[in-house]
Parts: sequence; structure tokens; C-alpha cells
Amino acid sequence: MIEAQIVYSKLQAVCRQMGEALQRISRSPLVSQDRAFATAIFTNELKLAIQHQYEPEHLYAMKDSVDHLFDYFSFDISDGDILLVADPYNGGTKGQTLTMVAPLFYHGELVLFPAVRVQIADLAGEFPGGFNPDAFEIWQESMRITPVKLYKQGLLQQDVLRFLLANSRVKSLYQSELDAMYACLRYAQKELQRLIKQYGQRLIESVYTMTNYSNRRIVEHISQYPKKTMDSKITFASNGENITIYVSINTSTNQVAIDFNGTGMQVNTPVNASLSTTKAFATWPILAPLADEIAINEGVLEAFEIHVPKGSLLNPDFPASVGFSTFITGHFISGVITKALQQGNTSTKLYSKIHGPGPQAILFSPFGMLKETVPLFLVPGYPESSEGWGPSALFGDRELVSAEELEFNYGFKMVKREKKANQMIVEIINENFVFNVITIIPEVENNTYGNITIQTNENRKTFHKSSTGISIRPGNRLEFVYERTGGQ
Amino acid sequence: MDQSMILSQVVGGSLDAIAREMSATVTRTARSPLFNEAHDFTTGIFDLSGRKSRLVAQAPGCTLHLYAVVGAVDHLIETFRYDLHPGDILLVNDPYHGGSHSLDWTMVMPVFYNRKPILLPAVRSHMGDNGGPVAGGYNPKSKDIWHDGLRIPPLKIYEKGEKRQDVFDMIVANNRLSHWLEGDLDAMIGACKLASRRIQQMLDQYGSEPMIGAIDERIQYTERRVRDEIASWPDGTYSAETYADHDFQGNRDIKIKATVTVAGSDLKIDFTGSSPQVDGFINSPLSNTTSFAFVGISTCCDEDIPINEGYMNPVTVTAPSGTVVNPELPAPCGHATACVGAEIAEAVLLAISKCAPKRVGVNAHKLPLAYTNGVDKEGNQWVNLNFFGYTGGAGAAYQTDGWGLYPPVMTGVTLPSIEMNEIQYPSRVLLHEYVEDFTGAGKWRGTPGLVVQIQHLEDSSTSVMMAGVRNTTKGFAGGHDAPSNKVIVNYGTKDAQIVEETAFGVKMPAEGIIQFYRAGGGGWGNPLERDPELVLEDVKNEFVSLEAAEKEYGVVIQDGEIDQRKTKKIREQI
Repeated sequence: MIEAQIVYSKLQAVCRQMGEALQRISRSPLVSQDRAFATAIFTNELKLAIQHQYEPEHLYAMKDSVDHLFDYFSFDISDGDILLVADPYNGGTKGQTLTMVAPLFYHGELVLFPAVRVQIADLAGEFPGGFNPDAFEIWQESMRITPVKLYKQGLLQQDVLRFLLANSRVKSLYQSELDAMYACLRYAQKELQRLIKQYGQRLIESVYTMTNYSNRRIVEHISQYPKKTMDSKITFASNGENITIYVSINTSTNQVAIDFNGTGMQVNTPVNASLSTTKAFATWPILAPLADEIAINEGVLEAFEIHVPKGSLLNPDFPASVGFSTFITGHFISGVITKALQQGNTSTKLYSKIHGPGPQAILFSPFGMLKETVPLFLVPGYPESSEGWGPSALFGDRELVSAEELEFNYGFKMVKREKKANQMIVEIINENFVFNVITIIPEVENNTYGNITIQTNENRKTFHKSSTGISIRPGNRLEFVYERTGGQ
Repeated sequence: MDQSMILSQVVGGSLDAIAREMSATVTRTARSPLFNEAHDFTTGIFDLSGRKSRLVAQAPGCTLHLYAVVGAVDHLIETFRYDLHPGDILLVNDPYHGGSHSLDWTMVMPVFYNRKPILLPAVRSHMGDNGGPVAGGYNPKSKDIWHDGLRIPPLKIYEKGEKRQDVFDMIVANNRLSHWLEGDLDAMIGACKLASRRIQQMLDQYGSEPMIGAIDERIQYTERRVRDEIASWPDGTYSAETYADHDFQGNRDIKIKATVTVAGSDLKIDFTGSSPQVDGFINSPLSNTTSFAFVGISTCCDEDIPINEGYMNPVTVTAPSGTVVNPELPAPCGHATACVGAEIAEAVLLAISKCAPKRVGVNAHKLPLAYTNGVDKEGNQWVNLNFFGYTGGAGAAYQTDGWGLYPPVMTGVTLPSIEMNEIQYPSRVLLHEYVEDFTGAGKWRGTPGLVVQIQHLEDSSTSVMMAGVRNTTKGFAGGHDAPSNKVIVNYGTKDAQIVEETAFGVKMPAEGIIQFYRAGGGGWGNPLERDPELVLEDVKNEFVSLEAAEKEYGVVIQDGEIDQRKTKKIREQI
């Protein structure tokens, strides 16, 4: 066990190093600041050996995407191939999050191999950034990247790269992200080869030992659950329409069964959640108390059995839009799970609410003005967690954007970021440019998860719902209000 | 006739036959009604002269594809010049890689002989959908190229004879009509492969050098014929301008200016002076602009001239970068094949009319475009381009009234059968008939305008893009301009809406009706010079009313007979 831990920690280090390298060489603030990525290593049986992630959405999507890629390319995977997929209907979460996989061969056999998932700044669609409040189908959000080889036996498929880049408003940034992902994967492959050479079979044995360990810890953890059905429901809204998520949780000796039967049907707004998204946000409240103690690997995933009715909000039929699922729906999925656990008389303290959606805005230059339109994903504050220790766990490990950075890069002056009563209020003045604004704001009846106010020369308007068609000019102010009771 | 001339005719005729066989293959094997009913595609064969491709043969198809396919093939060859192999099949749709609008996809397959690519069969087709924000690909809200839909820069879908299934599947995944698209792409691939086999047989039979020699001869023949036509026009510089109504983003009266310089048998067309590129999706990439310039020129030349590179050799087209006729990335271009394409051809013809008026006059392409989409009972999306609503509008020419339902710009495109349309879509054509006094008068008049009612039997959504309302299709040589188009959605209900410029995603319940008033074409020559007997015939056919006969043509008809005395008097007075 001790040796397994030592050997496994080397594997963990490779995985973490992949992420560190990615964060340092990436040009996109989504990666370098928001850490909207995950890295992983898989076994030749496509079991998750180790995963490092900085936001919850990747938990299942990494494995599901890899499964889809290997299923698609079965019998046609070679040394040097680099596989790509970014499709909510092929194991993904939202269209802009791209999974890149580098199968590794040693003496002609598939061995441990690395994968990385990254949110790309733009993959076409109706609005820069891929978040479209009006979208009701997937093509309105972004290009669908179904399984495709970017490198074939080590050779870059130039035309495929050209095809991908042509379908982005941020061609050079996108290229640099692909280069960064590729470099990290190649680095990881080299390190894995070195480890395989050094440890041979012991390396894979360590993976299975630690996979069992993670699984045992979860099983032990869930053994405290009452032997009864814990159920709950939560209601939120999208474009004025109420949507209810139902869940029932049952535990057996070695698994948690989560059933979303009864949840509302899919809707014509982008709050539908792909199956991978739903699974991630459903399990995270249960994992949260253990997250710092166990490695994320196959043992974690195997501890859950999740049933989601097809055609429902949480497992929609193609081609429903899904863009807001991680910002909004995911929080309510976690919320309903926490509520069920608390109502099931598990320890309230242990199962603190980890959700807390808040308003955010995506800003971009007017269409057609620039050859490359880089969207600004503006999340200048956060709804404080229920325990009061900062943002909720689902906020991820993103860095809060600094006032200096906003001023230097985008010409915004942050004049206020303060806590007041139950709110965090951030006020920003646009000093230099004209921007189009998309607001993404969670909706819930008789409650609030914050709002965004835009003060122009002509008027002052407060947005309580996701909106498009807003334009701000120099001198205009944006005020973000985050409700500290958001997760309550 | 010497032997080389005979070989040229034989080779040229054979290549034409192959291009036509490609066309028949696509028609008979494709799934989309755009292919098998409307024939909205073009097939052709190119050769390679260095890095530049040359159009060698083209089947009758969509004339507006003429130069766009040339530009697309050139971009494909340029991109893959170091990586072209037997069995490769290439695809492109990007307006900024030699295309027109991204709904038109070009597929090319090089045919090798002695390890070199010699000939390249190609298909250019209008697809039913192209992903992006709106079904059908016509997005009046478009403000950048990504709003038009998927961009496909030069791409191999077959490599050395092997299908790149992942690339193929990704293209299909980015389309709402994947159930059609797969079959349509296969039809295009089939046509290319068929042509490849036929061409290979010819190369084996004749050898490459004699074949290329024969092709050269044929291109030179076409060039001589076109040069003869141009040389018959007086030397000089002639300018004209015309206007597109709007760009669907609030900008109106967008200018297209053409300056035509005739110098012997050379023709230069310069679009300097045209409006800067606009916000909306009417910007015309250079290939499309060149294509529509050739649409204009081709209507001036004899129809028996073989369509090939020789057509283009005497003509130079230039357009300043950053203008509506040569935009810069990322300007949207989705509607360019109608607007400002129509105005480009019109400006060229108006300029040529100043030196060769008897050769111009049949342009008409200002469409009241409306497309409707919905989801059928099986959950499949459908997109109906409502072809019947805007076909028509052909202008008159010297000694010829406007004819038929399609103007020359569409040539090989055919009006789908109403019965097939009603089988393929949940739609009915309730009315499709000529309207009195709804065309440009002239010594030769435009084709009569139409009123059309299309009913959609399921809940649907319709977007309308009006053109030819403020700036209608021009008449020539004193002929009158065409009247304005008009479209009413939710016709006959309290929600009826006359679309002034554009309407986006108008919801219609099952059995909702769209009514189109599709204006006829422009006239040619002074209407007062029209043979009164022809006016009488038009009155009898209900193309022209008694009042218009008198007012527009100065022809007085009483009791079904021409009143010669009053007619003479009125014509002298007007």
C-alpha cells in the first residue's frame, strides 16, 4: 500500500504537472485565471487512473469523452494519434469545452495515456463565447466537434486544424490553446513512458490499489447514510418558465443510487444539462467532504449509479441547447442533492450547501469590428458560500479577476467591490470601448441570485434574467449584485 | 476542318457529356429536393495549368456558380498543391476561400495520369442547411461570417481513396438536415468518382498531351467567340450604378458601381466606387462578384458558346478590398448570391447598355426570399425554401419578352414539381398564377409577375428577406423598371404582416399561409414602340389591363380590337 501510494503519487504528479504547464503556457484567461480545465490519465482499459480538475463539470465528462473517442475510433488508434471531441452529445458538457486525448503505446501496446479538457474562448455559434440565452438548439451555441483526429500517427492533419480554426472568432488564441494542450499531452506521454520503464507492472498495480482505496473511502462514507430513500425537489426558472428537478437517493452497501425520475422535460432554453454534466453536479455534493483526501479516479466514479430519464432537462435529446448548464443548472442539481441529504437526516454540517449561482456577463466588441473577437467572461464577484468561507465550492478554483487586470486589458475601472449586508456588490466603469453584453443570471421564483444593472447615459436598467442585445459605451457603468444568501 | 479541330470537338464534347452525366448522377442519387427537384447545383471539369485551374467543361447549371466554382477550385489546388494524391476528394464552402456564400459547397476530385493531376471534376451545390444560428442558412440577423453558418476551408474528405470518416461525420454533425446531407454528399462524391473513371478512360485512350492540346483549342475557340463579341462594342469607358435596397441591418440604398472599359477585344470591369462593406449579410466575396459580372457578360454573348475558361480570359474584374463587392473577413456573406449579386450583374449590364444596348437586358434576381422551417412528426427538421414564391422575374431583351419563370442567372435550376414538393414537405401551393400589370413595360416587356400562396400544414417559422422593393429590377434602353415585390406572412389572418424589409422567425400556426407578389422583370425599349398586336395579345392573356395598355403602351383596345386611330393619336401625344 505504501509503495503503491508512492508510485501512484508520481502518476498524480504527472497529471498535476500537465495542468500546471497548461496554466502557465496558455494565453487564454479561461485557463490561466479561471482554470477552466482538467487533466487526466487513463489506463489501457479506459479506466480513469487519476484526474485533476479545477471545476466540477469535468468529473464524468473527461471519462465519457474518452469513452466516446475510443468507441468511435475503435480498431483505428495508432501511436502518435491525437483525438479531439467537444460535443455534449458525445460525452461532453457544453460545446466549447474540448477534450484532447493522446493514446500512448509502449512496445506496441496501449498503456497509460493522458487527456486534457479545456474551455475554448469561442467556437463560433451565435455569440462569442458560446453562451446564448436565446439558443434552443446546439448549433446556435457553437460548432459541434465530434470525434476527430487532429494528429494521425504523429502527423498534424493541417486541413482539420484549418477547419477547426476557421470556426472560431479567436483563431490565434484557439491555435495557441490547441498547441498548449498538445504540448502538455506530449510532455505527459514522455513522463508516462519514463514511469512505465521505471516501474513496469507496479505502476498499473498502484493505480488499481489507489482506485480501490478511493472507492473504499466513499463506500465507508456513504455507509453513514440512512437505509431509506432520501428525496427532494428544487424549482428554478428559465425565461420565466418554472422547472423542477426531482431526485431520490438510495444507498446500498457499495453504491449510491441517484435517480432523477420525475424531473421536468427538456426546455427550449440553454439550461438543459447533458448527462455528463448532470452526473458531475449530482455527485459533487456527496464527494465534497472527501475531495481533499482521495484521488479522483475510477473508484470514485464507480461509487455512483445515476439514472436520468431521457428527454428530461438533465438528459436532453439531441439537439437541445445546453450552454448554461454548468453556470446555472449544475448549481440546482447540487442544490437538490444537498437538500435530499439534509432531509435524510445525514449530518447537516457535513453536507453544507456547495451551490451558489450568481450573475455574470460576457462582453465582446461589436460584430464584425475586429478580425478576432475575444470575449471577456466577466465574473467580478461571487455569492458567498453558506459557511461564509468565500465562494461556494461550485465556483471552482478560478481566480477573482483583479481590478488592475480589468483596467489594463479591457479599459474597465473597478470602483467598488464590497460586501454589504447579505450582498457583494461590484461596480465597474467602462472607460474606453464599445461592448456588446450578454447577461447570464439565474432565475428563481420568490428569491434572487443577484442581478446586473447597466447605467448608460440614457437610462439605468436592472437585469434579473439572462439577456442579449445590450450595448455599453465609454462612461457606462455595470453593477453586479451577488446575494450572499444565494446558496440558501 | 483540320484534325486538331476535330479532336478538340470530340474531346470537348466528351467532357461536356461527362459533366452532364455528373449532373444526372447528382439529380438521381441525392436526397435533398434542392438537388433532385430544383437542380440547384453545377457540375464541371477543370484542368491544371501550373497552379491555376482552368474551367474546361460545364453542364448546364446555376450560372451564378460559374466563377465561384473556379475560385473555389483554385483555392483547393493552392492549399493542397504539395499534398494531392489519386483518390483524394476535396471540399470547400468558405466565402473567404474562393466561395460565394457558405451554403454553396464545392467538391473536387483530381484525376491523375502518369503521376500528375490532369483534370478535376467538380460539383458545386446549394445545401439545405449549414448549421449556425438559423435553419436553412439565410440569417437576416447575420453580422459576421459565423452567423452565416459552418465555414469549411479547403478540406479532404477522401484521402488516397479512403473516406475520412471522422471528418465526414463532423461535417454532417454540424447540419440540421443530416438525414439529407449524408446522401447529398454521397451523391456529389459519386458524381466525382464517376467522372474520374470516365476521364481516366479518355486519358488512356488519347493520352494527356493530345487531350490537353484539344482542350486548349476548345478554350481558344470560346475565347475567340467572346473576344469577337467584345470587339463588336465601341471602345470606351462606361459607368453605371445601381442600388440594393438594404442590408437587413438598417443600412439602405447600398451602391454598386461598375465601370466597364472596352479596349479592342479586352474588357475590364472595375467596381471602384461601390459602397464600403456593410454590417448585414449581403457582402459579396470577390469570387461571387466575378461570378455575377460573368452572369452579366454571358447574357450578352451567344448561347452556343461553350462555357469554359475562354469565356473569362478576355475579361478582368477588379474590386477594392473592404467594399460590399470584396469584403474583408469576418463580414457576413450569406445572402450574396441574391443580394448584392443581382445588383452586380445589373450594374455591369447597365454599363454595357451604354455601348451595346441590344446585347443587354435579361437580368433579374431581386428575390422576395422567404424560407420556412419546422419539425415533422418524426422529429426531423425540415426547411422549405418556398421556391415557388420567388421564381420568376426575368427581364426582357432585344427582340424578346421576358420568358419563363427563372431568369438566366439560374439557368439550369428548375422549378420543382408542385406535387413532389407537397410530398417532400408539409406544404401546399394554393395559388401560382400571373398577375396583370405586374412587370416592366417595354418594346419588349418583362415576364409577367406572379402571385403565389404557399401554405404550411404544420406549425412553422418563417424568415423573410425582401429585395426589389425600393430599388426594383431595372429596364434597359427606355424599358420600364419592374414593380416592387411584396410578401405577406400569416396571410388572411388577424396576424397578417406585410414585410417591408425583413422578418425573422415569424411563427405561423399549422395551415398558415404566405402570400408572395413576385414582380416581373424590367422591360427593354420604349413601350410606345411595342407592336400593338402584342399588347392586344397581352390583354387577352390578362398580363396587361386595358387601362395599362392605354397608359403604358398607348394602345387603345375596344371590344377586343385595337382602335388604330386612337392608338396612333395617343402614342403621338405621350
